[in-house]
Amino acid sequence: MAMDWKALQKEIDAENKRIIDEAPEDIERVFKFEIIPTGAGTAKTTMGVWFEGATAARYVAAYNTYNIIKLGMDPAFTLEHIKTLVATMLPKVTASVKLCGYAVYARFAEETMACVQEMDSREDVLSLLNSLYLYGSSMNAWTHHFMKWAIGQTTPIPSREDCEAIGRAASKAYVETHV
Amino acid sequence: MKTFTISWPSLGLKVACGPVQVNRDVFDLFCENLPIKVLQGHEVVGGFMLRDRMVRFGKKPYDIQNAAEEAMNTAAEGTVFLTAAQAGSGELVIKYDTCVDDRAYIPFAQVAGEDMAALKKAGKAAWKSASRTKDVIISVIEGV
Repeated sequence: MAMDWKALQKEIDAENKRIIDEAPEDIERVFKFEIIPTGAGTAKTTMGVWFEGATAARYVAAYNTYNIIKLGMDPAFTLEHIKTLVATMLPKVTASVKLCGYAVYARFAEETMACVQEMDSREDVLSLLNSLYLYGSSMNAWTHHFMKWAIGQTTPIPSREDCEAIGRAASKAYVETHV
Repeated sequence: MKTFTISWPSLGLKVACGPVQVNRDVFDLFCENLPIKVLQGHEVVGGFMLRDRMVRFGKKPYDIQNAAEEAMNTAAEGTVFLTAAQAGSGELVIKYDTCVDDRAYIPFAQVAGEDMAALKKAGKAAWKSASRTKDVIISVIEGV
């Protein structure tokens, strides 16, 4: 049996209020301090976890939960349809979030999925999904904040002049090593 | 409430925003949800745009189905976009310089011409935070 959905929503909403200007611990742990409790990160490297986790965090909220809400606001979609959408679109991406160290986010999403299956009011379901959507949006915001974008400066996009120089160097290297 | 301002107290900057008439209903509903306080982020793919990723509409959730959309790359600098208009929260994108992002979002407000210099300063500060310093910059959006 799933937990009481009102208690869950109250907990999510309290977090939503707290993390407006205070970073969530999960995000600081993974993206600031580079600690990944699940053991994810092949060969003890962070980039895969950051890439996969950040992407999945956005998908849970902005691409999946939001679109479930959007469809759920259409009267043609019944409560049962919404339950099917939740059961279909959220589990896999939530598992990715969990693997990459977003422990609280994963728990909120898992408990939301469980609650929704036992709820009997579409308005209540949409209200709970809206709370999860906002929480996920906040996680996405803080992920973007702590992501070490400066790493990108080690791989700048080459200019036309760079590309031409690379071409000349490659051509010269080919001739010298393959004659 | 006819307009709103966006300020960044830690930067000492503020800009005024007026409505984009084609989406006047989106603008009015946005104003009804003010004030809003949000972590200031920056776009990291499409170009020079401020991006607020956790904007909450706690007073009146959005339920506008047919809002007009415009591609961000061809929109005027200073255009304020909402990414979605059918939920209790959403994202705000403010174009402050060149961008190549041709995704279409909902333009509903425009930063005043005399405030464009301040907007660009805020944009540069947000990019500096995102790419180097990680300083937390809070944006405050208030009705006037």
